[in-house]
Amino acid sequence: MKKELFAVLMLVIIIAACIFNVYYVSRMTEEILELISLSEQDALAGDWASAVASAEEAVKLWEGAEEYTHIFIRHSEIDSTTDEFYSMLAELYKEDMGGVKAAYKAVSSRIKSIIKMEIPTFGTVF
Amino acid sequence: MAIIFIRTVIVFVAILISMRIMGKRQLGELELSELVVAVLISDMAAHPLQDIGVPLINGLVPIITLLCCELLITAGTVKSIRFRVLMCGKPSMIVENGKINQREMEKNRFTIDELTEELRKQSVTDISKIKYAILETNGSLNIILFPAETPVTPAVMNISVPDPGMPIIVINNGRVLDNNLKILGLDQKWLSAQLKTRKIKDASEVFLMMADDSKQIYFAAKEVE
Repeated sequence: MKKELFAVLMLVIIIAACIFNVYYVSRMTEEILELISLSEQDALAGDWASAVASAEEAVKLWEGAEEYTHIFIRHSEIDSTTDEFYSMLAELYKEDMGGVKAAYKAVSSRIKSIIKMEIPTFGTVF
Repeated sequence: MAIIFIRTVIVFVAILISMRIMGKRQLGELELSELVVAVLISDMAAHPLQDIGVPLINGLVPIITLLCCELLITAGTVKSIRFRVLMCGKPSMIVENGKINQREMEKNRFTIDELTEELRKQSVTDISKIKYAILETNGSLNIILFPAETPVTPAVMNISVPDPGMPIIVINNGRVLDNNLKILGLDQKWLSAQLKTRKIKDASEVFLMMADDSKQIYFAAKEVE
């Protein structure tokens, strides 16, 4: 009986950890996407200083979660996303609107794919 | 390299603990679900070892999940006969009263070559001497001969044979096992006397000493290097 209770308890813990992981990654990615969206709006309005500040905050948030993301997400995905962030910053520093638009799309797409990978759906499971 | 080393140790310990929790059944003949778990665990555990870009948790979570599923399935098979039949199937009578059941052989995709191989493994060459040959759910073939074909035992010959009981280790590679001495109803004094008769000064010079209920002893001193 003890082993069976242990098994049930472990499964419950794993399911709880999965739910927490989805919640945490969703919240983190939502915050990052909001900051990127804010940065994009500032850039479109010509306020490059604010756009850079928001983008840098998004990068800081992403890098701050590194300890957690390295445990649960493929390292290649994390590295690719970090590269996209820095490409976005590089375009912002250049104040090149064309390059910045593409960079925002690339980063947003990467961030959205990260949360997609963590949420179990029919498509992701199969 | 250090990361791979540490991960290997962690995964190794995780698998050891999992197999230990699953119990002796995993180490012996495997039922279907046990075979699946053993194969999956070994495959899943390898991924984070081969690629350090894969989070270690991607190897540990499957191991723990498979362990838990296996424990629950095993509990289910113990508690419910129907569930056991569903998971493990039923044994099949391949030979009955000296005759091969060809339908059962076909149903189990069990060939004649496999049958004769299994019989040879158990030193049986004449199928007509077999009362039952049962293909168990774990794939092993168990043979029961006709009573007239089974080896003679003392009971059949009405011969009484002393029962020595089960031999128990009392000294294991120089270490005295006090608990085992107690089980046999013996003590250190008895042990010292036995060692003295064999011209042994100390238990540390003994490789193996076993005794049974009738005080029969098997003794092996350590070889001098």
